[in-house]
Amino acid sequence: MDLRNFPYMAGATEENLRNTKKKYHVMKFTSSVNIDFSKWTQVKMERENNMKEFRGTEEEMPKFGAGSEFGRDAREEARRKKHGVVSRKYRPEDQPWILKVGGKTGKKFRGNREGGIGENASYYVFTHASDGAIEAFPLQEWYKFQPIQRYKSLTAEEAEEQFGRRHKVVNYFSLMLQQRMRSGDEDGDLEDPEEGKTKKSSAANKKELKISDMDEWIDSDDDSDDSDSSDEKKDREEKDEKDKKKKNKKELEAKKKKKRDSDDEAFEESDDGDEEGRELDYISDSSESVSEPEQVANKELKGVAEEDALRKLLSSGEEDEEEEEEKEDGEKDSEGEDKNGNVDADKAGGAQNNKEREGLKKGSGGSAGVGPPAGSSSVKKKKKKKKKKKNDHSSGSGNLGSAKKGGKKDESHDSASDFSSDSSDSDDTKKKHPKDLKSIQETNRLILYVDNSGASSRSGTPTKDGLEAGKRKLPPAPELGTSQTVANSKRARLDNFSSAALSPYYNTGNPGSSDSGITEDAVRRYLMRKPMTTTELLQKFKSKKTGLTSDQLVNVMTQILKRINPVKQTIKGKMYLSIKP
Amino acid sequence: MANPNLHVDRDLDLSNAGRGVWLVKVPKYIANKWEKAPGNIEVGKLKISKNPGCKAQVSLTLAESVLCLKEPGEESIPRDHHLDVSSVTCQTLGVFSHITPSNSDSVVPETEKLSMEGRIVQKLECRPYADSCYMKLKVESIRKASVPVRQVQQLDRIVQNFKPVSDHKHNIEYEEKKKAEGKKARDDKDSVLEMLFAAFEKHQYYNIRDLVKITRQPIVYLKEILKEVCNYNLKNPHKNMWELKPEYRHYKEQISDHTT
Repeated sequence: MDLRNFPYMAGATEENLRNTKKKYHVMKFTSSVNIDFSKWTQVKMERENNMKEFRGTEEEMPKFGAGSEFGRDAREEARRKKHGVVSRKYRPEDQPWILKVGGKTGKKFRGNREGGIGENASYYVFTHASDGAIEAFPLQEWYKFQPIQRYKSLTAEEAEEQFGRRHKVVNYFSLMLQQRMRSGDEDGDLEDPEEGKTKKSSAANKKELKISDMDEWIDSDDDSDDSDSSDEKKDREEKDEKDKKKKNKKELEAKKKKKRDSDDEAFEESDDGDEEGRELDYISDSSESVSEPEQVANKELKGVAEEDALRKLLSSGEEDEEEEEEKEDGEKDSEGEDKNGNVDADKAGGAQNNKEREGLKKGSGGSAGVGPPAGSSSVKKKKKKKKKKKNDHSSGSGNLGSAKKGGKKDESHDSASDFSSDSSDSDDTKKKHPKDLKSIQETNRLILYVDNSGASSRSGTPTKDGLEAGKRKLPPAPELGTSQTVANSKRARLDNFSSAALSPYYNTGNPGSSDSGITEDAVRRYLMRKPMTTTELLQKFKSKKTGLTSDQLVNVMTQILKRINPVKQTIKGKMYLSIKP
Repeated sequence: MANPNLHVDRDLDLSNAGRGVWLVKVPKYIANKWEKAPGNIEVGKLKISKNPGCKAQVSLTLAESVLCLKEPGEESIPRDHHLDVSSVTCQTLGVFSHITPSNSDSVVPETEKLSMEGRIVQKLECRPYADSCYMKLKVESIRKASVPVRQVQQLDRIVQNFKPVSDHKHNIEYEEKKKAEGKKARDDKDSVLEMLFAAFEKHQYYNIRDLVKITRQPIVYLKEILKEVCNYNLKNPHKNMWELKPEYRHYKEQISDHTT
């Protein structure tokens, strides 16, 4: 036992201390803020100035001179007394402490007084005095010091908004990149997945997907052309091959699915959480993250601000119009063949181009689900094919096509490149894709169609097409012609099969009256609707499966045109025919 | 207001910041004694006994002088206590002292001073041994606590605190004063205007009653004059107040006059 006598404890309360009112207080910190008193430097303390809050909302009035009232304070006081308000004096010594550690840039704490601690017991602090005795001092108050936040917290509304965006995190990388690359004027485009969703679901029109997507993928295509990155192309083509295989597999699956899907059509609404997994798949599956920065960079080179904005304005409006027209057509117009009713005369690059465009749209729309490079390159290929076909056709038909062949090629390329720069919409839809289960389903099916048509044009397997067509309730018989005509007709058909419109030949044209299927009436109708070139016109009828060879078709057409004698006008070096109603 | 200098931030004296101090929880009865202890005297003894392998045991023995400080009728308090030692967890406790000047009119004006007194390293809880002395104290305190604060008293006669007053004292005074002053006489118009302008130099808006008090004119007569030189505010920022017509006032200079 080691007993150690400690020195006497000195008096706890000293008279002189009491006079100067030296008061001892406790400052309390939670251990999470990691306070070490011995490391403190430059510490300042003050009482918080709550004078303003204390005074309340009373406006400051001048005490004398202009604007002052005589005896205002007394009157106010009397009025308050009348209403039972007992005015309290502001006591600065009752305000919380503000503790500043480490100068201006250091931490700040607010110390609020805590009550109730000394109610049933007293607390003393024992310290060693200089002479070895222990001094005891009573503790008066306890202050709880808490760090003052220097940042602003979100309000309820802001927090709600941020919470609504929680799913966007997945695309965050590309989003940030885009935002950085853009000058920031197109911010509006980035944030309307909801809008897009509702639009899509209400319209339930597959084309809406395609249109916007196509723009982008052509864009990427075009850009790669511009930048002459042949390596890139090669890569893409390789990928394309892979993706094709993938697609073929998917095709089969999708076919099986299809019958079921017809029921699922009604199951439209998708909840927030539904496609979260999918979203991830979508990202990981596609090589989007690779291709996107390139695109963006290319866009940037092109001068986004001027061109894209313009394009967006022009084309978006146009497309909307088209869509509306299409819908109307599908409903009331039995022939409804002229889906691409292009209102703008300048833009009327011809029905063929329109079709091609739409074909491309489909290609891209479909491929968006699988992989961008695949989409773009397949589009490219298709384009080439088309051109080839055109060439074949025109050489075959001879007299009409040969004159315009060169121009046409250019034109088709132009139109593609025209649209290529329009990429702002495509960004939207890309983001929409993962959001909407429905849209994903649709894209799957789109892949299917496109692939079929592509495959048929490539490999020329009409039987498959026949099956497909049968499902689509199209008359299978005429499709069993040459593979090329089938492909062409299909492409035309693809545009409007949703409206289930059939050609004028089948609906209006009486099969008995003319065995060729080309009637004067039909031609008139086309010409009345909008100006067309002869090749476009021919294309229209070629797609109707008239059963004629192209030579015969041209002959018949020239005869009909002679009879009708339409108005001829030349736009952009091409002759357009039209009839004034 | 009262002490604007309280809102000026002061440096915290950190000379003692690193020192470790003990926080001791003490029963109220000991605290009361210590409060009464005059001057810088010894109030007790601390004994720290260290057993190897055991916690240190701390005991407190109050000084005789403190024990003797008792009023007649007060119970004596136990002399020996032991202190339970525990450490501070989940918190960082510091002690700072605050010196406020007791009276500002002293010869050498004391300044407010804030100083850090140290960090609390250990908590001690002072506990009495449960001996008879402590039990007696407790019994007494319980008895005291059980005594009801309010008690019923029987009164043998009616208590009447007040009588009805027909005319209160201050009313009478007021009447007398009024009579002494007599009726307000109509003064010369110029002198009234003089008074009014002097009043409006000090403030912009006046209630009619205040003006009556200031000029000591009959209200009808005063209103006549006011209508000539003043506008009456019917709307709210200064409702029912008179102010000088714009052509009579030049407050910008007035304000500068006042401030200079």
